[in-house]
Amino acid sequence: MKKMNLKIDEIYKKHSKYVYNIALGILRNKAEAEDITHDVFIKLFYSLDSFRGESDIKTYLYRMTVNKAIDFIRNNKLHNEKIETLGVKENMFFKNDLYALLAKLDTEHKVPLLLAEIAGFSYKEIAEILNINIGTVKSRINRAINKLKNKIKEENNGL
Amino acid sequence: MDCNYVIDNLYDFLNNEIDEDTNTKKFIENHLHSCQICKKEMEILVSIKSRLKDAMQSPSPELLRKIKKSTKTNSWLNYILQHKKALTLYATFILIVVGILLFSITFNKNQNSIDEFLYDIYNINIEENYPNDYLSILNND
Ligand SMILES: [Zn+2]
Repeated sequence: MKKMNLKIDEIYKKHSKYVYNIALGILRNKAEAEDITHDVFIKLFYSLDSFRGESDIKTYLYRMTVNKAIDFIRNNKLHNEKIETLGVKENMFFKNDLYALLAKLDTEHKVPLLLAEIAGFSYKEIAEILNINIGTVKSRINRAINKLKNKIKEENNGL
Repeated sequence: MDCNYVIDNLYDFLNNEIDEDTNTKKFIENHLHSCQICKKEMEILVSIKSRLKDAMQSPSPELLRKIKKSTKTNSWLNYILQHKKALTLYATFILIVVGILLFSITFNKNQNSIDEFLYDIYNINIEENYPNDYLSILNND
């Protein structure tokens, strides 16, 4: 029991910030992102014995984060309301326009981008986490970044 | 033409996801040295990447404590999950014993023949005068 607590401490120290920010990137709501982070680590705690190694834990952790965040949006009709009523300052994840721009991306395209930019995963790791092939990761992530880039260009050109 | 090719591969290039074996990486590097348009494209991508990282926040400091509290209050659940096999075995055993007992009671009530049944198996009698019979068995030996 004590040994396991120590291990969950280590994993938390290493991954919680990334887990939280990926959930935040998908949900754009701090309280919801914290709930997801909480649930993910509880679930991890109870299945710690079943992992063979560090990379197993990593895959499980981020796959669960993404799935739980997406499920949350799907199952929670109040979710969108929460984003709007919280107010920009309270709710802000990305500074200025980038936050609003990210909101415009499809979750499908945004998730690989968040995994790469926030957690620093390679395309191969992302493919494993999302259980899709590497070519799909490549095309989705490029679609996401191109959309962001074009929006930023539009704005910089004074519309 | 070159620019389109470079721009299409620029983000993968920045992520170090271009195959080392192909000439693409070298080609992009060389092109970026001489093309201002693509250089500008790269700067935009670099700024998006850094802004995404800058936007990162920390979860509240209480979160770890909250998680640990949840795992402690749920430690009985954890115990169950950890000892699934043993507990299943115990539960099965208890069910069998309870089953036999219930079966015996019903059997006894309805047909009053459980004593004979047990007598046959264990060679003992469990009527009210059980101690006497038990003694007689011992004596017979
Ligand atoms: Zn060029």
